[in-house]
Amino acid sequence: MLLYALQRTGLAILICITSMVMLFSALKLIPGDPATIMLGARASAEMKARITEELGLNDPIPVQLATFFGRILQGNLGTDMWSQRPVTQIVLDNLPYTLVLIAAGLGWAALIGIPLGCYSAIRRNSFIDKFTAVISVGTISIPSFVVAIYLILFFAIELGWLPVIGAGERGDYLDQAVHLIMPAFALGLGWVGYLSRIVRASMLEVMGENHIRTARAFGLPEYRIVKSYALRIAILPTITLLAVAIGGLLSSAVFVEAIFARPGIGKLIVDAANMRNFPVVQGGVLTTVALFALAMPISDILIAWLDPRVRATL
Amino acid sequence: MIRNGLSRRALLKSAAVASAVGLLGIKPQQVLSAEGGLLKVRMEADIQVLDPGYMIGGSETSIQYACLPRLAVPVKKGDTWDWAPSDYVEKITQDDPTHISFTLKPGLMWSGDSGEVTAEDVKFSLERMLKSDWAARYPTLERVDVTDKLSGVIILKSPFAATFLMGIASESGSLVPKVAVEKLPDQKFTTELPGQCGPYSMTEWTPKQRVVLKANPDWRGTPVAFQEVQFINIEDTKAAELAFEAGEVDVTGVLPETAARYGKGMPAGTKLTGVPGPYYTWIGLNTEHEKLKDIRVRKAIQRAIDVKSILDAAYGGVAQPAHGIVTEGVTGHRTTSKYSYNPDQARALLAEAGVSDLSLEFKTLNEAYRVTAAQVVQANLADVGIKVDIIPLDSGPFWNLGLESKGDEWKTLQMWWMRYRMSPDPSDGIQWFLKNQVGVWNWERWSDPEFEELWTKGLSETDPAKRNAIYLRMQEIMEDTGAYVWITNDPLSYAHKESVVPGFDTGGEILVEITKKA
Amino acid sequence: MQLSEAVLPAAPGALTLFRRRLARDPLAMLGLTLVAIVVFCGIFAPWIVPYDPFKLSIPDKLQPPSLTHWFGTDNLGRDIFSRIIMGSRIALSVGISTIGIALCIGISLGLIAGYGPRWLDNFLMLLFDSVYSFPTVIMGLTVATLLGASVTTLMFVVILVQTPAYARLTRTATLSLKNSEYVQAIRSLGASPFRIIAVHILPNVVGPLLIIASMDIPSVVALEAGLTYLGMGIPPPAPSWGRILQEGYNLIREAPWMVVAGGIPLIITTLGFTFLGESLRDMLDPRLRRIV
Repeated sequence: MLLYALQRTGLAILICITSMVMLFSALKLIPGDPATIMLGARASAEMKARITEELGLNDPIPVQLATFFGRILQGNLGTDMWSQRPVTQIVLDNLPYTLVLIAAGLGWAALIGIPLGCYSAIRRNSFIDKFTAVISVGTISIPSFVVAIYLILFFAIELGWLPVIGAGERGDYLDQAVHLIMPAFALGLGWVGYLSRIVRASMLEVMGENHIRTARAFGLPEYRIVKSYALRIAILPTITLLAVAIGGLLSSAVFVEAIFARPGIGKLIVDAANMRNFPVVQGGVLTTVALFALAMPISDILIAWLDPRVRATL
Repeated sequence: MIRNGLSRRALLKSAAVASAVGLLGIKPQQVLSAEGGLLKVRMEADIQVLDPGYMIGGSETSIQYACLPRLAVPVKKGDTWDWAPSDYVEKITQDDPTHISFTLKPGLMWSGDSGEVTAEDVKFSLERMLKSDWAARYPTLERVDVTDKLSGVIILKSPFAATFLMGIASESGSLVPKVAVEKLPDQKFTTELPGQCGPYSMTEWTPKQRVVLKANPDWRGTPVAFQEVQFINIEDTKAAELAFEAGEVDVTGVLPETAARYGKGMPAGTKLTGVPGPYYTWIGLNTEHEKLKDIRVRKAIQRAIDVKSILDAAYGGVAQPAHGIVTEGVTGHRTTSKYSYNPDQARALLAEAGVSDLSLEFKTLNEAYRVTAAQVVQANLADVGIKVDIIPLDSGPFWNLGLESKGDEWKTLQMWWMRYRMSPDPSDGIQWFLKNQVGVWNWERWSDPEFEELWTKGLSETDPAKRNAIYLRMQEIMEDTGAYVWITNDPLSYAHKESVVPGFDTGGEILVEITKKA
Repeated sequence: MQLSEAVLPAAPGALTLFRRRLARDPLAMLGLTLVAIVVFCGIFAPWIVPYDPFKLSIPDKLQPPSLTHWFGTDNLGRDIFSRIIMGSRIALSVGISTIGIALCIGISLGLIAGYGPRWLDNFLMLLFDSVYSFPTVIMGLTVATLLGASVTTLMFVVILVQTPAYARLTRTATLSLKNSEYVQAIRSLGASPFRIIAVHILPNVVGPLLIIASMDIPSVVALEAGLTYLGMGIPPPAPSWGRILQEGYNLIREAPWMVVAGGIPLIITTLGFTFLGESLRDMLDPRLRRIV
């Protein structure tokens, strides 16, 4: 078990390192003076000198790479070109918003997907089952930015029910929750289908297993069997989904945050990309890659830990 | 981040305020300042540098006006801008064309431990501008002499008519505490004010979200109307409009197309206020480029572009065509140009120049209205047989295009959509087209001896009529190069609650300290 | 030749089977119809548009949908319906060309990884996994920051994102074929590695990959629209759906029909390809599974 966990984590770390090297070499490979590229239009000679100094651009390449890693290992992602704030701080300020958004998006997906999946499994081939089959395939592919714009158009502009922009008043949790409804829905809709299909499949499998059949033989009501026995196990595979989903969710979050003008890591990167504030882009990207790379081993380990059947094989 | 930096000081100083009241003869109700109220103002870009020497603009300006002292403020007199002494001075006068003397009010205290606002602070603040990114705001400033603790004389090398509007009364005239700034690394600051003294105090900054200003309880000048002001960061203007309509912000700038819709009918309880913008927009042509070297080609392009259509399509029909760079209400405003939309003439000029199959690259910032405008230009030029490829660019690469220091793009630059902003003095807007700006901001890359001569004359000329004539002629010279297609002085439109009367600076930024309740 | 027979369906029989299966599956039929509409528009766009999609007519700007303009007009007075039909051309050509290039690169790298030495395989796999762990849009933004936004950048990003997936699939298939008795036998007879790859491995890999790649078209179309929406993609006046949406968002109060119209073709395309793709995969599953 421990070995397995170490292996998976090791791979994730290796991926993070490779990504960093790629990002680092990308900056080296593009033509032009990196300091100018990073600073863009308003680069004064002084700022250029500072960034050249800060990034050690005059050192030999291997030294630069070592310094780069050294800084990141210390949790230092560099300094914002303009405000001079540490990028680590900026990323940490924005990250919670994205994580909350993703969690709420998955919440929506679970809220709709799991009941749909259960129902389809119990009433196989019913109209609802067939309908969810279509819906599940359909919602997966619709781009989140189209959903986001349509939601704004109908619920905010036409009906005026929900607020359009921002993350809500600080400290006012109700207001924040209200501001989360639409963005989270736009983000989560695509995963309703996946979730319901996975729940349905694993539910069908679990319902055929011995202990469920025993429970049924004892005459327990069907909904209790589903709720107390089947669903608990059937829900496990959805955790793998989380790992796969997080990359897609982070991508969609870029659009959703941009459209709803919500703070978050995606919007941070978009804005920084527009300003060519490279240290911030770099910090944001590294954080998302790390999130994604680490989500995989975490979910693998979670599954192994939660599911006695998998644990036994390790 | 600033966390209630002022509250402690507020307690300590309340006694001092009471004594100052008697001293300055201010009525007690003014000391109590504003009654209640929260004002939410949309800010387009988050604050990045509040230091007057290195600021970027936008809401940074509003915060400087509200939280930092200054010697003078801009005031609108009829259609034109003038300056007036600020609440911080006993007096400020122009003694002669090169000497301005001032005396600060006593008892104005910086937040933190920088003590009183003194003439030393004025000297330090203005002189440091000369070494800053915004040195051009003080083209003829020599030095500031301190005569006593609160008085001093600002000395100019040569007379300059816009010393106040461009410098002392602008955001570039914001004062900073010498003691505190000198302690900072590089003697610069970014998002944390080293000391505040003004109608408001900045008490909170949540990056990418908001800046909060609270009415300063110690303030003894003109009372403010709102106890608290929140600048809400919404980058996208459309999103800001939607937020405004949902009541989430009280004041926001709106897109021209929205201004046109509001013009037909406002949402209940709201109002639209137009501000003559500080902007000037034109289409620039690189006079040195192989394809555009022939002045007849450039003149053909001037005549082939239908500005009226651009204004209808991209500005919702709410903007007026420009005939030069200087905005309305400012010395040197030009009301006619020597060319007009005439595709036949354009075709004739092209034929005369022997040019056919011309294809050009048209670069613009990637903003919706500019891209819309670019497509009209594309269609207009197609009408006279010029093929145009639109290249939208992000702000980073765009602002590098004409700079020789930033690569070789300036060599291949052909045609671009440009917008600059200016202080309400023609010299501020016109300085970028001088010979020494070729390869810097004169991307059109031309020079003219008469233009240079007029520039020097204009700086020291003090007779308004003569200055007017000088700047009119300078714009005529620009037009005659064929390198400029005048578009408009972009109007700024603000939508706001009926209960709010927004105040503005010369650049169209909201000044919250003079924003009133209706 | 056991394996290749199993992987490559004998042409006529399979086609008939396919047609019959398709006819029985309503979802697949729906998908096929939607795809057919999009492809038809893409091919014949210049001949079927009711108006010139590039023709400016500023006096007619922002007309709501009517019988003359089904989806209304935009802020330059252009007919949105015509622009959307024309947009299918951009969507499909970007989708197909980038996926084509990604396939070529992916297959080559996959063959190298699968057939080459172990260390190279490990290295390439790590590279693929690392590229794969960049969330797509964020990768796009990073590249656009470094290189500037343009069609080239956009295509580069899509290729970069898609290549690892194809390379991985090719590698897996190559590995299993390489170790098959059949290939071992040919090798012992002295066939060169190049010949083995070209004649015995490649043909077995390409077929299934093509099907998988075609299922990626909607996500590439969505990505193109998304990045263009964020302002880094196809320059105007090209009627990319992403641009129509972006222009529409800026006029969402003045002309809500613009965003509605801009979203519909994206939904049709993604739904169509996904429905069709899912059904295709179900039909071909046993064969695909063997190789994937």
